[in-house]
Amino acid sequence: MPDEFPNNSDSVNAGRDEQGLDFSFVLAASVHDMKNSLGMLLTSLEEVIDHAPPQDEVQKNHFSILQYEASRINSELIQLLTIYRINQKNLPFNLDENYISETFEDQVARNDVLFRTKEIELSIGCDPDLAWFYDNELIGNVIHNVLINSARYAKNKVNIIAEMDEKQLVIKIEDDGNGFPGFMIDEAELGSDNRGATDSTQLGLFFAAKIAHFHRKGEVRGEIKLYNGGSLGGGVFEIRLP
Amino acid sequence: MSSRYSQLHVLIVDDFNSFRLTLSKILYDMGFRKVDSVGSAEKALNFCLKNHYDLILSDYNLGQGKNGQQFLEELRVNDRLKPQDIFILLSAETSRNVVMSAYDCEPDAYLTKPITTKVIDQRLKRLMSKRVEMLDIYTALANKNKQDAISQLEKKITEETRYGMDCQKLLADLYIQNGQLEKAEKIYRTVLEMRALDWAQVGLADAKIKSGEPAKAVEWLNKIISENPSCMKAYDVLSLALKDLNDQKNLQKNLERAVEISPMSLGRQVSLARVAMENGNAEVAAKAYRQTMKYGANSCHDTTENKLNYVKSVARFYDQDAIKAAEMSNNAIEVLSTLESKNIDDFEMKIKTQLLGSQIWGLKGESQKSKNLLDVVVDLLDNGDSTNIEIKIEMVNALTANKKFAEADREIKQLITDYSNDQSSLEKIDPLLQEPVSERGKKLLAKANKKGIDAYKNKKYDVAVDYFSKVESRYPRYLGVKLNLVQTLIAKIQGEGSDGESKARCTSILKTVERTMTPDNSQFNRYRQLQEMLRSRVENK
Repeated sequence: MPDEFPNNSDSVNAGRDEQGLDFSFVLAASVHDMKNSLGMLLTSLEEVIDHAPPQDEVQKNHFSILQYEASRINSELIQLLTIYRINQKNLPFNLDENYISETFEDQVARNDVLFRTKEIELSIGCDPDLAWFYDNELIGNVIHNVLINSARYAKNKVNIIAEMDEKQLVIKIEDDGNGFPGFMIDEAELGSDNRGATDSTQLGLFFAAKIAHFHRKGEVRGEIKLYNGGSLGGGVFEIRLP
Repeated sequence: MSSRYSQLHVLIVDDFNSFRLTLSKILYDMGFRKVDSVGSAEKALNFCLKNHYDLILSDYNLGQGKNGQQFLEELRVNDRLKPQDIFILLSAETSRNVVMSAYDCEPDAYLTKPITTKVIDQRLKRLMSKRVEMLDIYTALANKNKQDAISQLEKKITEETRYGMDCQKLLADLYIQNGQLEKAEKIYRTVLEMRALDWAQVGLADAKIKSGEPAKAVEWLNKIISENPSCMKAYDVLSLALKDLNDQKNLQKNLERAVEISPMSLGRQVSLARVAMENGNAEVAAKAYRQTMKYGANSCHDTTENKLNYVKSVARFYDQDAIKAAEMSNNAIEVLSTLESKNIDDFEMKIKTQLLGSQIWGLKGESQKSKNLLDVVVDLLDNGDSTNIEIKIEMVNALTANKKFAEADREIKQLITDYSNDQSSLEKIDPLLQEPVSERGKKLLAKANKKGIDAYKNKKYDVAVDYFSKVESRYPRYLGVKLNLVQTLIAKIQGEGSDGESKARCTSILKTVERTMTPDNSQFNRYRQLQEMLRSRVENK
């Protein structure tokens, strides 16, 4: 069955007004298409690497670039679609109790090939029985994006940690790279509502802040933070969920 | 570990050979030894009839034929899945409609492609260890031994296992099924003290309905929906509450909202279509049936009955808006021709198909085609087959569409005599008439007319329009009400100035009256007068 999203002629959700075609809808539809193609590409790439492992450093480097860039585009497209749905007020939101270790394992496994080809050691620091309330899909995507980003800037190591702090879940992703530049740290300080996703490098932050904001308990909402240091001395991405 | 997996039967369904091989290899490496794989849902269903599978991995997109979700639905409908069986839906689809409807059918896991070997491996291990932990409970459920499952769950919860929340959810569900509402409520409240989780909120509302407080449940569910419009379960439970309250209007509204969010959920589309039809809203019904056909091809909702009902709703829509209905008529004819080519065995369905065909052609103005189909039916029925009230009603509709008013009239009179002691059949005849014969219909009409006329006299035209419209949409042939409505609309235009909409509505209503109006009708003079008023006073304004 062909994908119904782009040519959905009579769905009320089609984002089409009486006067004509809504441009953001057209964009979303083609983003959706691109994302699907890229998914196919990534799957084939994994198969290629499996069947014909790299013979030397040069090949290995090429594979890792392919892998990294394709994953990056893929995750940006997912972010774009999610933000589109937030703006259309129709993002499915499924709050439930999840084991953080399982969410971590899923995202680490999702980026397994990327980290292997890059030869970066990825370790999880989390009580296997620690459970908390969040949308597994959305938080999974935030972690996925941060991991892809740290695959680029880390030298050898990335840690992904979860702990409870004052009845909030704190997830930290640390790397041993050179850390975030100051302007990015400042950007993250601003609430998600005060920031526009104008600069393409900031899309990831904007997305993470939006998703964090979606999670709330009473009046308290989730937040993100960037800083440098942590146990590996590089950049640290932190998300707190009430 | 591998020895535990080796006895389990696995089925892989994917239309891509390479993906089937990749999956088989992963499963083999994990220790699975009995793995079958097929390329289509149809083949998979065949396999499932012959064997029982403990684990099924299916892609969503399976090329031509059924998709993975329809495959899962079909397994459920035919009771081929036991509670302990694991069904994993894999998909490259992340479009909202697909994801919403995939969640709706609740597979054990929904994995988005691209997917790495490690992700599948990990997820499978987790699902398998949950299965091991819960196996005794699932087995009790499979054996329909609810009491046993309940006591096992009660015990398990005190053990604080990894699946505590799943156990609570399942247990509360079983309590509700068992009518142990207070116990269910207690679980939901305990969970809600921790966090406002949708399933517990919806469950609590469900318990309220079952303990006889649907109004309270409606209030809660509306709040849940306003906070999280994508919580589909809330719409379903709200429908239950509204049915309890006999609130047809809000039931339709609720279903309309639900299908807007998840248009591919066919069960809700069909429910919407039925309610809309009962409410006399043929247009909404026609649209919902059409969605069912669009998304439901190959599924278990792809039924002759739904198709016939679609055509029926288009035919009924002619009574309300002949112009818009005409736009739908080509589609209705297409549907009918696919039904005819299918060569239906069921005699009743066959007759209905011909009668509805005759109606649509007649309403379109193709009298010869309409007459031909009607003649076929008359021949078929002459063979002495007895028929039910529904077919007789469609017969009357076909005669009317053929402009054989005298014959239609005779048939109706016959029906009224035949069923004079059967109020529920008389209620079915009401919509055919220019005024009701059933007790309920008469009461309804008298009440609406009185209220409408009172409002009209007090110059509250909008209120009057509301009262008359309600009856008019449900009983589109009640002449008196139609003319009352036109008269009120004209008064409204004269009092408040013309708004194109009211005028267009008058014209459209008078056009539907014209089709059955004859000079010997007692309302004929009034009809002419109103026509004249609309022409002279309104159009010159």
